[in-house]
Amino acid sequence: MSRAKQNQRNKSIRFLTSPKISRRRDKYCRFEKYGIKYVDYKDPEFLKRFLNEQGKLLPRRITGNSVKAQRKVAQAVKRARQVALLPYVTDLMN
Amino acid sequence: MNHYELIVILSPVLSDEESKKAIKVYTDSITEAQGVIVHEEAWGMRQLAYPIQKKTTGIYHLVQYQAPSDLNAQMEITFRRDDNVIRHMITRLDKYGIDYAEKRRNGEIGKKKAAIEAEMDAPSATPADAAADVASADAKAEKASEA
Repeated sequence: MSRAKQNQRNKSIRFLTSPKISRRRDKYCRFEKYGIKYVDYKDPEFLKRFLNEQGKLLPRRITGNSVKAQRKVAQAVKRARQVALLPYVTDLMN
Repeated sequence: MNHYELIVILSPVLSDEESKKAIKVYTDSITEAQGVIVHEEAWGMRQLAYPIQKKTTGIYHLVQYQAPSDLNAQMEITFRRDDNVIRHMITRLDKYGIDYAEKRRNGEIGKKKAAIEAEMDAPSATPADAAADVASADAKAEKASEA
């Protein structure tokens, strides 16, 4: 009897303070936040933030860019590739 | 008259003088067609991200200019004929691009970006201080935009 009671108690463990499950941080568009209107294709180091290891564009759901900004980033990356500031394909990007 | 930006990659075998001469041909052709050269920048020898015509380096040159719209088609032909030019690209600057180019010329771009980048790296470090971080960075960004 007493053992059964203890079991039941264990089943419903209660915390004094609710345990912190790491919450995902909110995504936001950095271009809108900082009012960046023009994405420069001449700055490959900045554009690398929006590329994965193979040099492909990261999707919006990861970078949090707005539709407008994503279009500008994509355009800038493509221009940078054209003038060999960024590679079209790689195995390891920095 | 539109604003344009031209990037030319010259063959790395050229000497300094030769590359200057090669660029001068194009800048002259712009001014001849009643264009105005706003800004010129020589980046010098740079590593290419991928080989072009079996070359791994190139001499970069940037020219920002205003020109009538029919000039670019003519320049395109000369670029293609010129063996010293291994890659070229002309882009039209929109109103934001013109703004940005002017700021870049005055050296305002690097500063602001550095401030933003410092903030962008910061939040991932400590989620607990994120709120404080964002607040301080906001102040920073405001300062930068004022400057």
